[in-house]
Amino acid sequence: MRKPVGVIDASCVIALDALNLLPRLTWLFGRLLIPKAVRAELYRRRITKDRLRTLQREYEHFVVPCDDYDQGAVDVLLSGRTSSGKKDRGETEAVVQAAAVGAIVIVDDPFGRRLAERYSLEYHGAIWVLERLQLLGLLTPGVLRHCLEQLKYRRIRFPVGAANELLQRLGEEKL
Amino acid sequence: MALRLYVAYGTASDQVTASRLQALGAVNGLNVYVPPSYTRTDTPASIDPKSEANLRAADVVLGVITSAISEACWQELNSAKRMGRNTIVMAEPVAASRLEPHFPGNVLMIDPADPAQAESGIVQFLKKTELEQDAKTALIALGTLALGLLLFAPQD
Repeated sequence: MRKPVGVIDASCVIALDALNLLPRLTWLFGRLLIPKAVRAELYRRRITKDRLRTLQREYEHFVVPCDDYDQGAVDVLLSGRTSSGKKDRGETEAVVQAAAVGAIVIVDDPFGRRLAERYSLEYHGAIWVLERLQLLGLLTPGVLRHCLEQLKYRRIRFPVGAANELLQRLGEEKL
Repeated sequence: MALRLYVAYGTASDQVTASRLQALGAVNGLNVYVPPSYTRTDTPASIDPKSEANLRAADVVLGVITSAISEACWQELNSAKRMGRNTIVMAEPVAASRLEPHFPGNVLMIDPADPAQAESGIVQFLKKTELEQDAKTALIALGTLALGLLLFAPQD
C-alpha cells in the first residue's frame, strides 16, 4: 500500500526536529509537504532555517516545499482573523494544501485542527507521530517519555494533555 | 452538528471554484468536503474510498460543473443519487443538458445572461429538501456564491 502524503505545520516541525525525529517520518509518509507560510515561519529563526534547508537537501524527495494550493481559499479562511493575516497562515495553508492533494495534516494548533475538521480531513499532531513511531518499534515507551521531557525542558510547545494520556496508556508516569 | 456538504466538481479546472466554496463554507460553519485533485486526473474504475465515505456522511451534495464532467464526478453524482442524498448540480448549458436526463429536476443551468434563474432554482430545490431552516439559509448563501464563482470563473 502506498504511504500517505503529509502536510506539516511549523510547531510540529519544531517539536519533531528538536527530537531529531523528522527523518523517521519516512516510516509514516511517502512525502512530507511544507507549505510556503510554514517555511516562512521556520525561516524567521536562523536555527530552524538552517535545519529545514539541511533536511530538504538530505531528504529532497521526502521533505518537499509546496506552493500549488489556492491562495484565494487561504485568504477567505483568514479573512477577519488578524489585521496582518500572518497569524494562523501556516496552519491554514497546510489545511488547504492537504485538501487539494488528499493528504494528512500534521498540526497541533487548535485553530488548524478545527479547520481540518471542517474540511473533513484526517489530522494528527506531534503526539500521534510519537505514538505511531512507538507502535512501529522505533521508540520504546521510556524513550518516548524522555522525548516529551526534553520538549518540556526546552519549552517547546506541545499538547501536554494528549502527551500525558499517551504516557498513561503506555504505563509510564505523567509529566 | 454542522451541516455536511460534498462538492463534486466537474474536472481539474473546476477545482479552484470548489476549493473557494469549501473555504467559504468553512468560515460559515459548514463542513465541506472536496475530493482531492488526483481523483480528477486518474480514470478510476470505482469511486475513491475516501470520497465514498464523505458522500455517505454528507447532508447535501453540490455538483459544480463548467465545461466537462470527469468519470470521477459522474461516479460521485451517481453514488449520491443511489444513496438518496439531497443533490443539486450547478452546470453551464452544455454540461447541464447532458446531466438533466440523469438527474431530472436537480440540475440548475447557469445562464450568464440570466443568473437569477439559477438563484431561484436553488431556492426551489431547498424548498423540496428536509433540512433545518439554518441549513437552508446557509445553502442559499453558498449556492449564490457558487453561482458567482462559476459566472466569474476564467474560461479556458
